[in-house]
Amino acid sequence: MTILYIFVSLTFSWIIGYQLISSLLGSTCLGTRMIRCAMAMGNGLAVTSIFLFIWLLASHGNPTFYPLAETIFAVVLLGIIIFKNRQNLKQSSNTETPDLPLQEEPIVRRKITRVFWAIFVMATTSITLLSFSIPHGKWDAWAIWNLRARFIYRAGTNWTTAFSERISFSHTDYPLLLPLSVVKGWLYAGFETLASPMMIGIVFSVAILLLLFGSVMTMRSSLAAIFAATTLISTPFFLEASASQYADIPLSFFFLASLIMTSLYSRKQKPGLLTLAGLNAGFSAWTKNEGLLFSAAITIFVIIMIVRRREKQPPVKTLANYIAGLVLALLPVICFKLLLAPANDLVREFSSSYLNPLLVLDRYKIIASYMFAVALSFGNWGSVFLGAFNPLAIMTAYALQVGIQFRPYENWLVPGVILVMLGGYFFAYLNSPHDLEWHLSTSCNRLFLQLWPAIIFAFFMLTAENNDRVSTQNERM
Amino acid sequence: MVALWAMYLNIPDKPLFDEMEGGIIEQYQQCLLPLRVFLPTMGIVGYASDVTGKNRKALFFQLAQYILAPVIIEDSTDYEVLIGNFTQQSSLEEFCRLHNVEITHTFPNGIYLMRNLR
Repeated sequence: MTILYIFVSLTFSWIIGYQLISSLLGSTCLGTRMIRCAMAMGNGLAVTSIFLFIWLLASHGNPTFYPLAETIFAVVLLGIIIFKNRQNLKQSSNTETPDLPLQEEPIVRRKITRVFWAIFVMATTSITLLSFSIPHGKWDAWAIWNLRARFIYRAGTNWTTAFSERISFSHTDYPLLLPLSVVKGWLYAGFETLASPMMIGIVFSVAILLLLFGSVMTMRSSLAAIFAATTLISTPFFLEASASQYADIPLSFFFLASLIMTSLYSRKQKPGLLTLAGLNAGFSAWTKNEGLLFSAAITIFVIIMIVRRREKQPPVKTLANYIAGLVLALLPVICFKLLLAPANDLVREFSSSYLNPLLVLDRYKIIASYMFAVALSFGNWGSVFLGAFNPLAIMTAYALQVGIQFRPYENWLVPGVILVMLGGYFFAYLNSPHDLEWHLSTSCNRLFLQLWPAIIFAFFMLTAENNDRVSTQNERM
Repeated sequence: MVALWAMYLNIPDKPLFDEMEGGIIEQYQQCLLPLRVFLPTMGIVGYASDVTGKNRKALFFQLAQYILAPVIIEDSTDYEVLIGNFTQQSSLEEFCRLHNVEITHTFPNGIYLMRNLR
């Protein structure tokens, strides 16, 4: 029965997210059903966590009627969706024409999609079984995210004690998407249940898988898409982190979603895509502090893209769509940081240190060599036949087979953002007030994991489209 | 095939809910939960322990906070109410003598509720 309450809570989030995505994408094939469903899940959870945050602020921590209010809202939205769908069915002229023509014949696509669904079910089962073995999540999950959720849920009107500096080990300045999503599940269930954080971890991981497969299939081919999906789920650390309830998985979802929306915009100039890119960048900042760096990095690249494109309308007008989404999602972050959160430990301790770590050259060497080593091993591929299944080799072989083709915008923007992020992480380590080796060993692999789905997406976007099609046809023969 | 193999290797071979970290949390939760009846609903309580090892000490302290939230637990003996986690009877007695602390309730697995007499 407990699982049903959590399922209802997630379904309502999904409905709200789906309506958001549909209203921004409109009736276009740009977002295939797979992309829309995945986007709706992540965005829905982000939106409802923001709703709950506003509710808690307005009601001084009394969330008693929140589930009722959200239920009414979701049911009304569901009614609107059903009504619109019926109207669309009646209008014969409303046959959707694809903005991006799919490359293969439907029969090949159908076959590969079937293989994907089989892998999808197995991946979900694998993550679910792993989740059962660590029901509270791993150390960071219970000590940061689930602890915060317990404070907010149990403290009632004193919910702001969750951000007390006295529990600084719990990084009380971290944003609230994950804890509030967990609390929302508990509010629906009426009690604390481990099913809530477990389900959220599972949902975000499968949403990443769907999003990656759907987007590569839309923009390249189904063969490239199945390669991308298998590369991701052949990463043992991805499966482990999904079950560990780490915030790095939701964060990587929003990184990927934002980059996909930007890439889609470079192909089809639909303002809603830019708004979604901005929204998801903002949601990443609502998930974890690294999201603030990502928001800044992608904003710079989006500005460059818009200015260089020289579209019919002025760049400022186009950029306004992106900024609107970004600002909307950043508002709760700003509100949280100004009203509730204490100073970040890295910022606080760095500003109080008298020795400038930027001047210690040894640190550059240590960080660079550690990051390079982790880049090749963070996925824990070594645990499978001494790393024989490291997907980097498979990805390289695939690229050599189909060839690499650079396209304007979509091929420099995504890798550009990833490189800036890596540079930002390097700089953060450089300034770290903690013991450097400890800091690197406890976080570096997770930083790479955050970017891993985006890296896979960027890689398959580099592969040649025409050759890709040929390789699919060869496959059929 | 690679994906299937990786997934197969990730399926836990231990019984469900028996993984190391989950196991410790459940076990420790059972020890600490009876304490909640004697603690204030909000506020700060102190904490003392003889657990050695930086990581192990931090683990038990943070677990206590996770289990007993929303009461804030501070690793300090400056508070009237203290939670003790002692593995050795001798170190418990020495601690009580040194800090002028009396034990008010004893729980299984070396968990104590104590009062600061200073």
